[in-house]
Amino acid sequence: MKKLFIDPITRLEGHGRILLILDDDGKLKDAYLQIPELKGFELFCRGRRGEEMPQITERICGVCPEAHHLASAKCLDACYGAEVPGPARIQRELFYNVYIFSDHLLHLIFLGGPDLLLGADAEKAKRNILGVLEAYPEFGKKVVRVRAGAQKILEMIGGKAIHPVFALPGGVAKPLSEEDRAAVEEKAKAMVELAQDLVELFHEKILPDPSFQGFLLAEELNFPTHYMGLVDEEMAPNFYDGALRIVSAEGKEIYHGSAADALELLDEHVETWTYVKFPYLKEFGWMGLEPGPNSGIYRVGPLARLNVAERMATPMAQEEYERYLDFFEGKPVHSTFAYHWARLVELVQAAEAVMALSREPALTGEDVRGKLGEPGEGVGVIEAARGTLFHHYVLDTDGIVTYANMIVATTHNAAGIGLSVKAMAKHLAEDGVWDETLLNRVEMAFRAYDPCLACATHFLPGEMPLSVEIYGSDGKLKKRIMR
Amino acid sequence: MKMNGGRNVRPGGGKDMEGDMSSPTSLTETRHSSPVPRRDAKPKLAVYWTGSCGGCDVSFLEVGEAIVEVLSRVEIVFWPALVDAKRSDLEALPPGSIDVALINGVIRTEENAEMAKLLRAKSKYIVAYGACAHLGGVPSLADRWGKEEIFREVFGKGFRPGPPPGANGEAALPDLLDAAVPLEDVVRVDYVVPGCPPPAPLISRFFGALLGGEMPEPPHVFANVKALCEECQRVRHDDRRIERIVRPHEVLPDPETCLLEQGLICMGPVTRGGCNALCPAAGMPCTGCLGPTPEAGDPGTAMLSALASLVRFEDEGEEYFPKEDGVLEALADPLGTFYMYSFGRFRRKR
Repeated sequence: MKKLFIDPITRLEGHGRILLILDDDGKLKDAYLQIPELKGFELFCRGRRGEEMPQITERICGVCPEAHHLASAKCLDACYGAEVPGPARIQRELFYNVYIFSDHLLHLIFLGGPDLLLGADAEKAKRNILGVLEAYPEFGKKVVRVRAGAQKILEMIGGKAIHPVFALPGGVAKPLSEEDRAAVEEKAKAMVELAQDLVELFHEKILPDPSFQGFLLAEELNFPTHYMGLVDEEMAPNFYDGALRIVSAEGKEIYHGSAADALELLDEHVETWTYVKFPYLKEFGWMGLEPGPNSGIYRVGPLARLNVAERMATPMAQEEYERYLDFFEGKPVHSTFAYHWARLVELVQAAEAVMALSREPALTGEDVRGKLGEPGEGVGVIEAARGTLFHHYVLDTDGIVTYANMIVATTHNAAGIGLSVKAMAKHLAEDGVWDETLLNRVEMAFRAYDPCLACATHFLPGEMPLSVEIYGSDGKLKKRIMR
Repeated sequence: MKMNGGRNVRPGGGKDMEGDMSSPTSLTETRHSSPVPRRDAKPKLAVYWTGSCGGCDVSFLEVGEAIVEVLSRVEIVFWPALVDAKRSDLEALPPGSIDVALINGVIRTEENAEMAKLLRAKSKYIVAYGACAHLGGVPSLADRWGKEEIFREVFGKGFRPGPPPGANGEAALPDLLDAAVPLEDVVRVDYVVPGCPPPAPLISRFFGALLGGEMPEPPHVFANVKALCEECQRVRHDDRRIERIVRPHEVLPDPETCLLEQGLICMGPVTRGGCNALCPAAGMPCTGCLGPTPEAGDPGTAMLSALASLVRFEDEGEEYFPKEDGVLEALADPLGTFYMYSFGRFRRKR
């Protein structure tokens, strides 16, 4: 499954499609989030030139093409046994941290933002980007300005902001000029400053809000799963590279080692009612869509990365991480709504990292291509904004792709998102209220994951297109709620 | 696979149409005012995505703050990402009540095709927005195979899309079509805003024409007729000859000189301009996302003939390409190189 958006309108008439199945007593039996898109990248990547893969696979997702672009380049580094020289590596890492910052910012302010800044029950017409700009005019404009600066850096280094072109096996297309480097540093200052503002805003306006605290601590949205993410040598999260760590639902280390080898620990479960596959930890097996310490279901993304890490990599982020852990009284944090706070902690680290990397003297070095060996098999792993992303290719002796598999972030989380939706629906079903409230709450439960499907349909003013369909015990459609 | 006999319906054709509008076939750029309203009335706009990666929707933000002005000067009739609208609302509209519908994404599922037809019936003009709607895009590279092979590769043997346990067929997963096809295969297309995704200057060009009441007569592609090379800043030499074909990871190209002269397969000579040659400026060859120029036609044949006149054959001294077949061999993947965004459009034409 390569396509991660819910198509906004189903064959029936719905939008994003959540299917609720009731039992004989009219109680909720099951809930499904259906993803109706499939492209078959695994198949048509075969026969392509390896070096084209960063540009082909990024067409899996136009919302986070940067993640596919560089996961693919890292996979090719491995296929060619290439050592990426310093200047190329720093260019990639800088580009990548700008992407994480920009993507997290978009979510925090404009996608999940309405939930956080305007409250869960804000007037429907205001629950969008325009509502945020109206409530926080000065701050909103600053966010737009700083994000535009970040996008400019992505274009400067990547060649294009959407579907970048700069990464190649063993390096990048060309050296970065001193003029461009200085421009990046200038923009980085504004990014760090905005990160500070965001932390303040969070503690002044969002966290004290009783309804937000209610969601953070809600029983039904606190379910244990395992967690996965990349960490550096100091055990801080690293978005671009590192060792993979998996911790159990109880916080015990299950795996810590080569990210490429970790692919061996995973298997994918297939259901015929959705085009997304469900990866799970082989060691535990697939036990259906069930949470808990004995299930093979794990989660990825900001919440997971902060659960597998022991510290943050930069000082301001570390400070915020400590406040986060104090609030939840330690790890692992299972709260679905903690994804938002974890995203903020990561945004701070990304901004600080951009600043530090923009000042690396080697950034403008001329040596941007590593020596390539004979092509073969390789795995590239990266942390996309939404979680761990694996690319796995086999190249023949001419460097042509003969096998390709990609496990993307929202796929890892597909089971977790399904669980959150079901838990929220179950909780609400107890009141027997099947109306717009249900729609809003269920939507909030899955928007916390920042799934591509949500951000792609919510970047401009407006409501997340969504339908909930309720099926009776006879299998027939009873009711459809939508907007 | 033929979907509705509409194979010959494409920009440049404008025949064999469904829907209700008059059939302009001229390729000239005469201005006309009707039925898209002039500046005093707000054009009624629909935006929809079929099998898309989302990049096209995000691309609207690339024009910066101008998008806010655009939104204030149009009436959004249907845009599921933006306003509350149901398919039933769309079905209830009289034919032609939408002025312009922008559709991005490839036609990959039955549902994609149904929605495209529905929008066609309700709209005066249809715009194929982005490379997938225009030419099939990257996902149409899958068209070497059918849907059964995709299912087998991705899910294993015996996969059939269906409903979840406990629900009936209404809850079933939409089936795939046997091929991923461009929009023109299912409906008549009036305008194209090309690119993967469309670059900011072309998005501005389109909205400028729409809001200025100066839409060219369809069919029209909002990109240059001239090749990308015309706007590329790299220096070309008249006596250029390619001595060997190289791949982008094999060389660090000179920053000033034409990439093709340095042996890299750059699709610039056969591709429309309009993006300011972004990729060559970034040190990477053009991959052809704006589609072929009218002069080039099929990008594969056009590029091969461009190459044939550029490579140095052995009878000219430097022995590298013993014969023309050697050029194809050196390309390694002609299909992916020449038709990265257009296999869905050109596969039956070759």
